[in-house]
Amino acid sequence: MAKASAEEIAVWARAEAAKILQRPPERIDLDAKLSRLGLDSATAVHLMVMIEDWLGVELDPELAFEHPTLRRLAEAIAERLG
Amino acid sequence: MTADFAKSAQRGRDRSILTSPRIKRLQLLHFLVFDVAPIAGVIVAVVGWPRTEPSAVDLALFFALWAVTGLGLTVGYHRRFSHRAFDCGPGVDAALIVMASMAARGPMFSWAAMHRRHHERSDREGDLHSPNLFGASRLARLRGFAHAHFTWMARHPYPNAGYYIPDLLQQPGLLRWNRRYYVCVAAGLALPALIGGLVTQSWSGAASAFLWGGVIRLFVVEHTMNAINSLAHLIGDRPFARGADASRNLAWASIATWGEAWHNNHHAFPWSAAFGFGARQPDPGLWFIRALVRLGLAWDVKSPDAARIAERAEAEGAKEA
Ligand SMILES: [Zn+2]
Ligand SMILES: [Zn+2]
Repeated sequence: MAKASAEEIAVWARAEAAKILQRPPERIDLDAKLSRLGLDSATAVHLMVMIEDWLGVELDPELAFEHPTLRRLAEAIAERLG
Repeated sequence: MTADFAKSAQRGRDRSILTSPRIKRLQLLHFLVFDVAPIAGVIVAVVGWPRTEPSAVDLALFFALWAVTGLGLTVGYHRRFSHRAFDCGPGVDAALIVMASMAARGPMFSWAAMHRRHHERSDREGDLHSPNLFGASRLARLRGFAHAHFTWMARHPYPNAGYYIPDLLQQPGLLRWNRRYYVCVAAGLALPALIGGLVTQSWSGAASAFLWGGVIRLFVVEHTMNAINSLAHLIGDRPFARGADASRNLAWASIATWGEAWHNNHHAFPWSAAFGFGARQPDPGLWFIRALVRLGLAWDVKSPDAARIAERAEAEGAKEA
């Protein structure tokens, strides 16, 4: 699972965020700031850990804070995966 | 969610917290705005004295908002959400989150996750705000105090909500109010200015009420509550001394902290809604919960009975701290 496109990661992360936020995924804007979506630091960390587990890789935890939208986060992760 | 963590725990690193050496901009900004800037408000009040002397309206707003935010923190963030020491309906949950958020001590989820970690690791490695991990020399203790009281907030790692607060994440009503944290903080600053301005019909009245009911109130709430992290893990009585933590009771601070200062009691019985035990240990937070119960707004209030407390104190009290 260590290879995934930015698009795939974004879709998966959105589904996971939807679970945390208890909202349908289609109502979650990929370009909204994580904090705008309603994720605070603790829940953003939770999301990062879920993504790591899914991909089976360790990611720099800073990513969620440096790339604070789901789309930008997914792009940054895809880039790391190479 | 717990199952996910059992799975992930098999892999290398600690999944309960994300440690990062780099300071996150958001965290530092929050620290500067809500922890450092209020000091400027206190300086303004001192330097400008007696022109900055509070009016009766300012004092009323100061104490009212101190009560609202202090009770929100101890009864809401702490006893209800972090420890589930009593039960209540969604309306009271929402009110408690709004009240506490106005203290600008962080969103409830983050607060509760960090606090549960504090109980898990009390005064051992991983405790985010222990004053006792810097060494035994006088200088080390001073550094520990500064860290536990203030600077830890500018550079702590973030606990994983999925690990520490899965129960809270499952309640959609909580998230709805948790995400309005900054709106609540802003309301807590705008409200005194608005009321002060309306009552006195003047801009200077609004400014003075903002200073006392907003900025200085933030400062006072912060430092009284932070004393629980710092002083209440350094000095004071230890009737329950068996725990690995260094928690203490600070009787003199009990009223100003809404009961939080019975901190050794709290570490001994973290699930208890009562922090003060008996009539001789004033606990305004508990009085507030009892008032909610009388109004039919809260129920299932957990606390140890007197015999159990006495038994524990008898068994543990002899040991010197
Ligand atoms: Zn403690
Ligand atoms: Zn506690």
